[in-house]
Amino acid sequence: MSRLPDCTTVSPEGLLDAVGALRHDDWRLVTASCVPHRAGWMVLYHFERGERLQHLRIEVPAGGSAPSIGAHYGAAFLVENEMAELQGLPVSGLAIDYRGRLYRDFDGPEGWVHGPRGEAISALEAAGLTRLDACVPVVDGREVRAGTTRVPEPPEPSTNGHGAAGEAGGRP
Amino acid sequence: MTRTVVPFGPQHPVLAEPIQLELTLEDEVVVDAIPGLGYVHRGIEAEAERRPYDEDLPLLERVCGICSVAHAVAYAQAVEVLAGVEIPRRARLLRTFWFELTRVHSHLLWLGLAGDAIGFEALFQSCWRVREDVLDLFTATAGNRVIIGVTALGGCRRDIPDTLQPTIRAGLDAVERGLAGIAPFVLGSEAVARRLAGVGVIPRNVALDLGLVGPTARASGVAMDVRRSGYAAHDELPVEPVVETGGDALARTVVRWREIGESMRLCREALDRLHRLPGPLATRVPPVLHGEAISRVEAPRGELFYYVLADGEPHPTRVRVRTPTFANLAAVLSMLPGTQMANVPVALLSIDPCLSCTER
Amino acid sequence: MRGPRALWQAWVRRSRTKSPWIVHFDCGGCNGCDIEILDTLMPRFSAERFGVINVGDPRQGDILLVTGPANLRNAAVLRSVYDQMAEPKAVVAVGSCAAHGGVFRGAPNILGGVGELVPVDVFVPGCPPTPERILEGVIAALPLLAEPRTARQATGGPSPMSIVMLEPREEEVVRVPAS
Repeated sequence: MSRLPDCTTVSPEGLLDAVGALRHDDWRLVTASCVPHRAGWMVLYHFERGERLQHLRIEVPAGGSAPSIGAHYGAAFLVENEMAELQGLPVSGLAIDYRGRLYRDFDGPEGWVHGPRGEAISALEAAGLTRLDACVPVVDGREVRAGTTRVPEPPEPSTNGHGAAGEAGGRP
Repeated sequence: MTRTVVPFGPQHPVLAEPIQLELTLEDEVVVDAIPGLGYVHRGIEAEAERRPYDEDLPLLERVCGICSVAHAVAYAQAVEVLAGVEIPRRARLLRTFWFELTRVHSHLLWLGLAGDAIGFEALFQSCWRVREDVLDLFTATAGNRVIIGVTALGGCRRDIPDTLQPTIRAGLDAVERGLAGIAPFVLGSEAVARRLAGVGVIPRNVALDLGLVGPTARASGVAMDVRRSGYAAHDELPVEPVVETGGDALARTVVRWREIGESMRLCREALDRLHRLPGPLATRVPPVLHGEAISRVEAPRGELFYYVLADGEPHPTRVRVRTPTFANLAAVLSMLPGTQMANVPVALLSIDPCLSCTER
Repeated sequence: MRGPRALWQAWVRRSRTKSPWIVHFDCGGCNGCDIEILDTLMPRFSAERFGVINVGDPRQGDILLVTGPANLRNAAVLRSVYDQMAEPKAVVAVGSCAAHGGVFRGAPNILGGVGELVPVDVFVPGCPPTPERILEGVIAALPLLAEPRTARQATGGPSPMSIVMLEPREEEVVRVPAS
């Protein structure tokens, strides 16, 4: 029976403070591991400094959510999106939110080949098979889609008749 | 100012693998980059939780065809911690030999792809020609060219008999002659230096903030190398991290180039110690395990992290794989804003992205 | 009696089977087959001496080399790449994964073989196959390039479903866990 050394259990509410303290002490976030556990989740956050490791453990009950540590470690958004998608753990406050579509487009039966294969094909055909923009990430509340958007410019002070204000006013 | 969101990929000639980047451009300059993943996601972590420990090994070796030895060693180490077994010294030296040889072939592969991305076709072809000599060594010692499957739980599956040592040394000599032949193209070449200098700069503090790993971090002046923790045979074959301070694509090239030389030295030293070393190849690992363990190795692209949770079942309850590119992908978001659209492929390639690793 | 038209058509058919340009698409594999495909074009094996060129644009390609076990998100991209290629075209599935899912068969998010999505003409076994075997697979696909897929059906030539299966060698057999 082996247990992780240097592992501290904290509550989900106290996670951000504990992570902030580690960030202040220059610990590097290695990653987080999420395990479905007793109808809820157990999440381990792994940190490293000078070849030493330290872990924070939180337990999230069913229906709960884990706070995003993106404020302290900006690179955490990938692993948090992954936990949200693959383990189903709701993560609150994500800066870049893939809305459960980081890796997969279809929530089919678990294990397509074990399950009815026709279902996988029909799911693909229902989705049109040519759909390439399945993943539309949301960054700071705005969807990022291919195409051209016009960023509104501050109105020109000049009284020239060819002002750009009318053109830019079309979009919020 | 007009902003255009341009999709880069998923099928793009610069990478063999599909990745999509949503690039927000202002004229030709990137202001924002969002990665779109999932084109290589197989669900290996979930599948590993359904198979017995020993059958997971060939599965996890195929997380990545380039650094498969790194995945096998990292997973085997985690299982060995769970089982509480110590592996024989011979197996540790053999693992180091194949591991460092993998680093040589992976770095040469990357250097060739980088040559291709900057339009230096001769460098591309020369690097891959030298890499063939490394693959010959894999064929001679393990029987396969790319995914060699030499690791077993508790040790190694294959041995390098002393009678094979002269062949391997001759092979290493051939690789070194090849390396000496392409060295003027890499470090002495003005074409390489001018094309790569100043592309995709990551300052040291940003590298620390984002938690970058491997050659990408070392090129920004962060002296980190998991081999210093002494896994496999690195307790008797110590390694000093190769550090550069430029932080750009050129510095990353120099770091990888110098690491090739370092790995060749380690291969030779491991061979020296294997000569006339008696002992078994593997220790027995029980089929049912309890507890949780982590394991870290320095894969060619950086720190590879495994977390294995065992619950007394014949298969693991959870296998978590954090690959180096998963950590380094954050670098793409930080270094692409401000670069020219034409430099995006080179900047992206300079972190040596491995997407089959990232998405598993 | 062969008129100029028949001679011209014979010449076209013959020319189509020379210098195949390759489109490589990774459909969710592990990189092993992908780098072996690149290796096929490198100095040691040098497929380029036969006029084989790896192109990034599907519209210029003749043979689609697919690797990997067909991941569900990639399926749409694979179909799109295949549809963009001009006839006559052939599909070579490289590696065990592309044939039936390989070691990943049964994994979530895996369809298990690219044959579900595009009509495969040649299967190249191996995990990963060696460059010689990939080259062998490409050569096996060459006769199929003489006619467009629809014409192949009409003239009774190799049918669109004529599948060439390279025999695996002993060392290339990979044990797949029973599903």
